[in-house]
Amino acid sequence: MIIEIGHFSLILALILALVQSVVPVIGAARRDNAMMAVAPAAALGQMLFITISFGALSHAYLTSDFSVLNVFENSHSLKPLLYKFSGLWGNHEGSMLLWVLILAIFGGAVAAFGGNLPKTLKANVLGVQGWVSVAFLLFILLTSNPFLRIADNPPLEGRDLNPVLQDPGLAIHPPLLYLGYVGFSISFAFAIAALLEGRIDAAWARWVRPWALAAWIFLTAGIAMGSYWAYYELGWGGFWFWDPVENASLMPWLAGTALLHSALVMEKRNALKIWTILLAILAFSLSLLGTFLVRSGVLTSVHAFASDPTRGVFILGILCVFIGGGLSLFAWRASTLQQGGLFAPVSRESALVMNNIFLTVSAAVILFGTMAPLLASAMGGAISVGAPYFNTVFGPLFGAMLVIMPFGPLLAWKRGDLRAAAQRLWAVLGLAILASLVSWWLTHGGPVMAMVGIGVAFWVLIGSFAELWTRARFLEVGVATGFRRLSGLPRSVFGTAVGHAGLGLSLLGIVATTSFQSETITEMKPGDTAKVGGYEVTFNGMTNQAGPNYTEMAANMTVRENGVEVFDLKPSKRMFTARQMPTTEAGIKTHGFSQLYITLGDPGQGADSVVVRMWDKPLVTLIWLGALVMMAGGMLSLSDRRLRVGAPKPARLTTAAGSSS
Amino acid sequence: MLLWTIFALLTAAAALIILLPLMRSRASANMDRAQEVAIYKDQLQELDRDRSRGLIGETEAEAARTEIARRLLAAGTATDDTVPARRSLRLPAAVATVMLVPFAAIGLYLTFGSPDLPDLPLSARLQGQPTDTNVNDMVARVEKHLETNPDDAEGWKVLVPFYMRAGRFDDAASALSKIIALGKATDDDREAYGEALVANNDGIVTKDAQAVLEQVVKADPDRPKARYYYAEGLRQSGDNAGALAQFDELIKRSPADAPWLEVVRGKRKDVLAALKMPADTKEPDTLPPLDPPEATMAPDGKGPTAADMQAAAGMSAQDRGSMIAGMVQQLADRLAANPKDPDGWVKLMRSYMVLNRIDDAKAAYQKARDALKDDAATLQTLDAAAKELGVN
Repeated sequence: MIIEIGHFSLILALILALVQSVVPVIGAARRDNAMMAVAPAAALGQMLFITISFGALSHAYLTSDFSVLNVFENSHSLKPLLYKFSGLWGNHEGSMLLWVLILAIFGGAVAAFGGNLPKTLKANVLGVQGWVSVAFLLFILLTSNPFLRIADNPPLEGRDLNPVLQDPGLAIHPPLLYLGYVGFSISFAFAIAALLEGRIDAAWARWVRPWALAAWIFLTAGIAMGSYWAYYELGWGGFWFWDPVENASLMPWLAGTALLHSALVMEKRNALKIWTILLAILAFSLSLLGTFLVRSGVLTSVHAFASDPTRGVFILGILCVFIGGGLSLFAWRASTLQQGGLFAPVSRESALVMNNIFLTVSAAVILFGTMAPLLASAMGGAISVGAPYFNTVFGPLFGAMLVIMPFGPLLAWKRGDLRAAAQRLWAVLGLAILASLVSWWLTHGGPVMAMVGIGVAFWVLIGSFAELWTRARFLEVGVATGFRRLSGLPRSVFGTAVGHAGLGLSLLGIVATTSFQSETITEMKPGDTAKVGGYEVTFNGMTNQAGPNYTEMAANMTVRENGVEVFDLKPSKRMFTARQMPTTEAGIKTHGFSQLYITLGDPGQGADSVVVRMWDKPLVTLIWLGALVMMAGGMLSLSDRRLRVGAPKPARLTTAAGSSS
Repeated sequence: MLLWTIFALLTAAAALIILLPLMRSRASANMDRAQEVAIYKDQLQELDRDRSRGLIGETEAEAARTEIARRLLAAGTATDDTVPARRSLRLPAAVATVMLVPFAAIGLYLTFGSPDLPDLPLSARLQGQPTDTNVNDMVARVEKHLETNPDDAEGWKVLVPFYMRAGRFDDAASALSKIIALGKATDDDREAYGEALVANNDGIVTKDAQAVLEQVVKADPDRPKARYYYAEGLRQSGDNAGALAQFDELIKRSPADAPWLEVVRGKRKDVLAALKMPADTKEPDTLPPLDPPEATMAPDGKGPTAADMQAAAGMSAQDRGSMIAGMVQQLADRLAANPKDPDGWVKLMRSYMVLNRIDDAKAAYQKARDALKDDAATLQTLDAAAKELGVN
């Protein structure tokens, strides 16, 4: 009965979404208060019903109710509890349900906290949210219904979840990524609402930036988590493969980052309005494209759970309606919007425009590289676009952006002084060159490109704090006064510094790992010792053990440094009984910011021998720690009082606060 | 009924969610601009803060201040752009809602939903009494129990007969091997293990099977089934003399009216022919007939009981023979449908040779050659296999 209530609730949610997408929009056009008031009620109702629906499916998963087709196909009674629950979205139907749940939560949030929005804007925004909801709820009910049942004598055991997905990563990565993707639907809804109304209120910018920022934080976390998961689970030791599904998440991230920066200009200086609207449409379009690439089955990957042509066509339809419709509306209505403030060629506004150009061009380049093979194969040809393309095209573009990045925060609004900014950065340049020379000495003369990369990483890392340094004026006013001056700064200034520094950290990790990692691939039999980096690894033999739903062959490895035993590692291979699928579990030991990474390959020629792949990866964790730091920067910025949605407070409170930041 | 009551309540809630704001709010809006004014005021204060921190130059700040002030004035003096009283659409909207919500919801649900199906959580299903005498269901329950308790030999023993009857010989063999590994196996189980292995290999007695069968025959000489397969294994490996001795031993230990004697005598003839001995070589005497069946226990308590006999008869040599023949026929059918399978053809030829159906083996060889004639390399392997099996 619970399952059927969940199914019925999903249908009611669709109907509420239908009402939400029609009535308030008509109401806004006719200035009809009653009809506009339907929007928040319907959005909250939709959230309630989708939550019931999600709860019902969770219940079916947790109780291993194999009369539900979706549970039978993706669960197993012996799975640990966490994977029973996270397995809900480890498949196509369930993950779409999570998608609409998050969409409904965002819509509910706008409804609940949007009391200070102009009424027509709120009605239109929720109306557009309703359109997106209708599209995806219809998609679920018509092509991907997770509530279908097995009527006759349902099986007593399920087919189990793909073993690669039986990992805590599944509980975290998809929800974060979806929070990011779906978060951009809010900026999209605001953009479309502004185009519908033909004007942009001051409230518009106040709302768009925090939502874009929140979505960006989630997307950053989702991508970083996905990258780390692939790194430790797939056993290749790589952190980014330029795989189309990875690109599918990187593109909205780049567009979203651009949106974040242009929304800043718009909020503070009322400029770049039209551009911001276009970016809001693009960021969500790229999110939808990502969903299409991953969900339609045009790509073969661990993310593409099932390929069903009708689904692909349906999502393609959704894609065309929203992207095509959004861009057409933009082309038609953008000219009616008022242009904003003016600024000089050298100014913080211009610096942010530069950032936008680099980011959107990067996104375009990746879009081309991702779509070209698909389009070619659709037309019968075959092109393969791999890492070399992305590295040679994306690398320099992004690198150039990083080089100019520290200048931005040092320039004043409206008209900046480039020479003054450059003077402040001389010291940073010196430190970056010094860092690069030190690493050259440490690595006994490493490759030149690696030295340049490390220099750029330190340039970004140190340069991010140049603004704080100049604001504090430690050298002139002393340490104590300097800190007092710092504490008076708004949090968003710290957010900028920390966010940019995070990017520098990630870059440092990437350069160090790709240039200086040591790799050993060798066949070992018990008793053998192999060297990797500064370590000697001894293979002591295999142990067999059994997990709840798998059997495992673990290799006992002792790692020594200069003959002294430092730690043990147990890389293993698991065989999952239900699907008869093997997985590799890498043995990973973090030392400092670096990691020793060992995986088992196939059995070797001799008895008991096995092929072992070992890497010592210097500073590899910085790649993901950098992302965490970026997120922290985003959160600092989000916590800035001025950004708190609709909380204009008297000025006396601002000066009093501050020591906390 | 409860389900539909809940549906009705949920539907009513959904309709009310839409109707309440439609009924309660004032229809005509006056668009107040207070919100916008507050934001512009806040922007002015922010500008002052930026100025005091040197984030913006004095002239630029002045320009921005003028710009914001201009917008502030515009917002403050804007007349409320209330649209002059048009007929409100709230009533049509409300009516449409009342119509749409229940009808669309029920309509869609009846299309996609399964209102008759209850929830079936696994734990409740396993605890509850089996609702029907579905054997597969029972087997699945035991299997599920064994997944978590793989050391329960009795559980495996329950499954073996089901597996054998369902023709799931590989499952039967693995269940029996587990019983043996647990040290709980009787000679019955070992005998069944040998039989399952043979059945699983389309009648061919593999090395593993032969080892088990030999063990059983040595432990208990009065096991006709085990001895039969043991002898057959010797015959298949080319030890015709050994096979003859075993067949003779089997006849000697069988009652005169044992149902398997016919098959054994047939096999014995094949062995004699292979040894180039006369077909009427004298066979040993059998035991006296077991009739009447009331004698449930052999007098000395050692011989097979009537129950044993019946069990063996349940899987009589005829049945066994027809079962094997059936499996071979299946293979032949499969190859007829899908002839590009050199391994399958070799398997079929071997089966026919083992069953002594030489003509069928030759026919199969011919068909295989026809089917695979495009592939010289495969043809060569096929010829080699045929030669080795003695097909031509």
